[in-house]
Amino acid sequence: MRDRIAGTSQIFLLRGYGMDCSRIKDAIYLFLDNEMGEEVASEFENHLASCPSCARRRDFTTRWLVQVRRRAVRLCAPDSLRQKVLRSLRSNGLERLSP
Amino acid sequence: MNIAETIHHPGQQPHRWDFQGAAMPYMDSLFNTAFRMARNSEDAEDLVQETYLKAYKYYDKFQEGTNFKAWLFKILKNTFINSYRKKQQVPPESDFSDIEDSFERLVSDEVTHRMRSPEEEFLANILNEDIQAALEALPSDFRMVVLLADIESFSYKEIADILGVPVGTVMSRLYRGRRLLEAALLKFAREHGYLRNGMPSKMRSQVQS
Ligand SMILES: [Zn+2]
Repeated sequence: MRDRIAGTSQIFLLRGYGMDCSRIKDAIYLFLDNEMGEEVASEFENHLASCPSCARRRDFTTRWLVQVRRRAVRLCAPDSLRQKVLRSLRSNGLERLSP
Repeated sequence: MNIAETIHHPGQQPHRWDFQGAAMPYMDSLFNTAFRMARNSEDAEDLVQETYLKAYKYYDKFQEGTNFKAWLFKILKNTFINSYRKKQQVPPESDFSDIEDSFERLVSDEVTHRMRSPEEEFLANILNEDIQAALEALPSDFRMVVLLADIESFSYKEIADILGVPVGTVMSRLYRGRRLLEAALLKFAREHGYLRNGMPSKMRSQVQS
């Protein structure tokens, strides 16, 4: 299955391949991530404009991904780690940052 | 790693005194990713420290003009694979037959098809904890790709470089990782009951807002 999807995704990088709902479904992330060539993306958009169910999927996928990106917790490195790393770098030859 | 180039353009070679200023700003990102991969603070701290030591040691091998953040993440990933992943139990393969059509199920479920928009109900009720738990539950290969793409905003090409895999593999892992994430979020939604009841929980939406 991994290869099947990788294969279909790469087919999307070719233009003029034609769009249908199952291909849209397979390549929706390429489209949302802007990793699809411009011309293929415009074929993709043409399909979305005329297919409510694919458009609905696109909207849904975009919105939950935005929520994940916005709300996933970003941990900060503890200050003690910062000090520890600097200490060990210095004992390995890092010079103090000169002003 | 192109030695000839370094000799021809000695001015482009990074200087060791640059290292602190160049590398330290990425510590939060590296720590966040390390923590989510190792799942505990102690290992995450060790991973980050090891990453910085290796990066400093090999700093003259870094090619100026390429992505330094991606280079640091590549070292982090290699360190994780070499020393920490072996310690972890490999989780059982998830059953992917179940995740393929989670969106279709959401919009066509017997319990949700009468809703005006099941998507709205779902999106309005995702809990912060659900997002953390769903990310945490991803098998580590998929978790790594999703973190790099959705939390650190690396491009497919950069992720391929960091992981040392073809871009096609990045695409397929991201596809499966995100489908798993979507399925997990929908599963939590069902467990919370608002999809089953066809009504969002009032209390929950108050907590959310
Ligand atoms: Zn369609």
